[in-house]
Amino acid sequence: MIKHTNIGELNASLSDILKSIAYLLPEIFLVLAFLLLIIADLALKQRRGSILPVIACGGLLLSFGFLVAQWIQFNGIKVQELASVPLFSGMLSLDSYGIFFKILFCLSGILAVFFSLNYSKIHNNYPLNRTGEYYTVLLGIVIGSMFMAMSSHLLSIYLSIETVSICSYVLTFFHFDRKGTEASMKYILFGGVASGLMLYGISLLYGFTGTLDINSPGFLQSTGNTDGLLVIGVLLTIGGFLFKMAAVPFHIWAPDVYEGAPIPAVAIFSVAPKIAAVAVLTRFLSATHAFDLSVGSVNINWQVVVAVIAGATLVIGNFAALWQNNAKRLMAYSSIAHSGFILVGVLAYSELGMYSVVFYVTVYLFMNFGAFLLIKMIYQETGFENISDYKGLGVQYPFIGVMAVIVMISLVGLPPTAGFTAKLLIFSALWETYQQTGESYLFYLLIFGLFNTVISLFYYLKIPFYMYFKNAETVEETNRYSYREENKGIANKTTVINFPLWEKILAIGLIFPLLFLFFKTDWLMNFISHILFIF
Amino acid sequence: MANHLLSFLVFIPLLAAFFLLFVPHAKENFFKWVILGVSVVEIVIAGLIGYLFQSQPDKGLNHELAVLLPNFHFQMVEKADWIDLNLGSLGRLSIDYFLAVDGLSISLIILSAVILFIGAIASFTINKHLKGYAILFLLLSAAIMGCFVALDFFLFYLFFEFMLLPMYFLIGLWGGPRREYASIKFFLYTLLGSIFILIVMIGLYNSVIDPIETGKLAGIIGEGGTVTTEQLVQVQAQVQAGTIPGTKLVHTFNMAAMMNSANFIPDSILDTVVTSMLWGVPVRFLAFLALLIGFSIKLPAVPLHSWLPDAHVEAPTAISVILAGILLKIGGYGLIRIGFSIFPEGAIHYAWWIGFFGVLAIIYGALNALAMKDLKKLIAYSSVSHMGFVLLGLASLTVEGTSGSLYQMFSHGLITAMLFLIAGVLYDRTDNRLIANFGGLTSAMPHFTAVVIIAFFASLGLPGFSGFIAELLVFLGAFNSATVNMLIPRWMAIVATLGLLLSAGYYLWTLQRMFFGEYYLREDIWHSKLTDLNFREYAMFIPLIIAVIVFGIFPSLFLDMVSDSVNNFVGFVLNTGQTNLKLILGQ
Repeated sequence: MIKHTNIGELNASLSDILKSIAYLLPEIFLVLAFLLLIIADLALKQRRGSILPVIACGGLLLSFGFLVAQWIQFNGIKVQELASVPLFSGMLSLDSYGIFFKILFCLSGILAVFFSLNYSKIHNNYPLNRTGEYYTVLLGIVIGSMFMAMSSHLLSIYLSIETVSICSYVLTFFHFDRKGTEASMKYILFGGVASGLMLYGISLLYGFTGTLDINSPGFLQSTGNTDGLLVIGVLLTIGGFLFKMAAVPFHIWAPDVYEGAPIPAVAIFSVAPKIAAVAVLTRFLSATHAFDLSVGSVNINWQVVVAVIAGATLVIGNFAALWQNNAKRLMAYSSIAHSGFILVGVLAYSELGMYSVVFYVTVYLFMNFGAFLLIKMIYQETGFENISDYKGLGVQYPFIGVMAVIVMISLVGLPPTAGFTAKLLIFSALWETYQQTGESYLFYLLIFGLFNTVISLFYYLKIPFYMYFKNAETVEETNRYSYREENKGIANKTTVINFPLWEKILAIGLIFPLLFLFFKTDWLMNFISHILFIF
Repeated sequence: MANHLLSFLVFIPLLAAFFLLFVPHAKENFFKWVILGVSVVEIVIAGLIGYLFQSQPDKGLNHELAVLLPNFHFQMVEKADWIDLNLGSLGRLSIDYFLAVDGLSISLIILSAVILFIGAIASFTINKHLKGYAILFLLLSAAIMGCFVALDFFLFYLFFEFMLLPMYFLIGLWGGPRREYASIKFFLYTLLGSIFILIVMIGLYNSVIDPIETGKLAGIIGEGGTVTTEQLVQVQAQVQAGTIPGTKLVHTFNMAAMMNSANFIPDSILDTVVTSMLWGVPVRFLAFLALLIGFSIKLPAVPLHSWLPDAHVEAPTAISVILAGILLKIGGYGLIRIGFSIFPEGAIHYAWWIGFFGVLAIIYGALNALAMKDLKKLIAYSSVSHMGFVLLGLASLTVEGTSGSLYQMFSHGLITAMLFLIAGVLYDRTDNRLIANFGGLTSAMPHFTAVVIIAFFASLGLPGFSGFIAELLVFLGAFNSATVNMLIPRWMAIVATLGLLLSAGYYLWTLQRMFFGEYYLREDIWHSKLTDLNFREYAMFIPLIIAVIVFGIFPSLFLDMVSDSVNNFVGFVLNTGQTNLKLILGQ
């Protein structure tokens, strides 16, 4: 591909790069914050704990502001050709779809920073002297996810996925204990294999098509290639996305990582990379859909492949969750199951399908952060992570109890919560596709997926069940306040600790959208329907 | 004011629940009086609705709805846009806040208000976590009322599902020893049923358009102007011809629109004209079956009833009363309002099976009741048996049968509330309900025994009580069906009469074992505890007894109210059903 470059071409590509940089302001500010964090961590010796989060949050907020501005700018565009701006000669492409996802990442970054604020105080394994690294890596995840959502070139997809992965490996290890080490090692091993497979898939795709730009006309659409290797190439590449989504068969890392990593890190793991992977997957699928893969004379419909993956993800996530007692592990399987629901929306492959996927991931962000805030609040109050220890908490802390009920009901997908609307839209999209194509496997998936919610009810309800239906029987169970005192090195030793006010406000801020988006679904859908999907 | 009565019915309990959030825990009695007060207000509103309800309505009560669905006389209509979604290539989706009442729902609204009032009085024995109890009770009341007045499927489903959560906690927190098991079983079972309903709901709104909104979007009907029937027919014709582009179609959850096959998008899965098949069965039949299963779980019909004895037995008295008195009726009401009305051909096609499962429930429930050792379980199974009559009456698709079903739901609500209160009276005093532990109670509790005798005789269908009229109408319908529309054979009615005999059997036997004969209590300590009825208990029993007798002697009070709607309903289901059946099976 390397050709002799003359000055004119060099100038053209230089100006392209300069022009592209203007579109990258949100990311640039995040990178600046990233650098500033490292410097501040080195330079400051005092009060790092309070300044570092401010830097991280400031960077995220600035970035958020620029994203909103970009969103408004792109909203005016109604022409398909102008809706997507290629940056850096097609490495990235910026469109309203990507911007919406990036807003979500920024939001999850901000939430994760808030989650982390008092986390260092509540976990005795948390190294206080590494706060700087912690926030730096956290920003790294957000930056990587943002690039993932924009990538339209297999190379940039790979690079951004790796950015997220490496940051995640580090963050998983942040408790510096046995569980964290084990989880991190598992994560690195699985992640390494997954990215190796993906890279192999990408190399196969490059070999067959001669380009890595998924939007270029030469990519996959051109030839009537029926080589089996091409199918393998596509499947392996998708495998890399599924790994980030924690979908079957690349889900095995999730439970251990969720259990071992710090709670704020898990909260962002479960949202940002997963949503970013959804964005990449939809981009990749929309680039390759026209190309029906076939091995010899056997046609492979990618929708069937995704349907099988979605079904398996739903089943494994939901059934495995039934046996979990650790709240974080339960959430891991729950997030696997949610990947299944998102995949259902992806495979519906229509405008409504895309709308519903975007709606779903938005609601999912609030639900999951809500659930992890709940786990964190309980943990900081009582030191419990096991659901069977949650006995009587609902009565003891009414706020926690009510919050648990709403969040869990939303995760199941029951009205009146946005979780229901999200599932309704996803399955409506599936029904619409079924109606148009008449493929009966779509209908089976619809029934299958909906009945999975009945299974999920059983384990999600376990949390309110223990909180309300079981009573604290023994003295230790009732006397939970002692937890903090038992742990050495903890400054605050007051006996009755109420949740800080900002944490309650944060909790309400997470619960409110779950109810609001049910009663005013059109509010969010109006935003989403401004996104132009290019198929 | 009068235009928003139905909204008041739903929102007053909700507002009260919200208000209670800010009342401190310690004011225990205050909570009891609030739920009592709210239920009195609900009774007043329901009474007002009953008073204003026109049993022979003038034509054209409501402009839009009358155009949309001419034969159904919905009254007190409240309609407002709620959610309006852009679904991309699928067009738009409008979800309305749409409430109305007609003869099919009026009786159940009144019943609900009465039973909730009784439930509120019965709640005075609750003594722990009263704040939570009161809030959940009020949420449950709102959801129940909402179910009976909603005419938008989405809204109905919202209330239908929202009932589960308060019920789960009410059984699980205030229930008996096995409450945890019973509450989760109840939740899972009913959620399973609602998934069946949800699937049909998704299918329906994908297939059905709102002709008025579509007409407005397509420019056939002017904004703000009144809608005429001609315009509507024009829109429907264009939709059927496929000349309106997909993005201009307004999908809807409006049940009134779903009842007209002209509103189905051609080639959609649930369209009547072009039959889609799945597993060799028309999809519309499957949709009807899914609704049948979903609502039968709630009803409950044998063999989907097994959650009921557990939930009833473990629930506290007040909640058992509400569960049996109202919640079961939502199953029957849902079948009438949604299953039969939207898929009439399914109702005709599967009439034999519906009737069969009705008879099965009657006999199976009665036989089980005979075998029960626990008084509350006996009553629970008698509920299963009596709800079988609802299915049998509906299956007959005659005016008598359908009126009988409605009458049975109403009357069973009143009677079964009394029966559960009776079990509650014993349980409150002794913490025990086993039939064998009591004997000759007449001597200790003469007034209570009188009440029990009235309730038992009302339940077994003695003339003079409302249960008799209900069952008589169902039998008439079931017998006549063979001559009128040939839907269910005569033997079903004959076998069902066996249920009457059996119910006489288990009630009289229980009466004999527990109340007559030698005075006997298993524990000596109970002797001092078994006092006769107190004022609070009289306040619950006397209104119910009066109602049961009044509706047993003056059935016209009830039948006048419903007859117009029932006539329309039966005519509609038979006519539309036959037409659709020809279309579906003819191909």
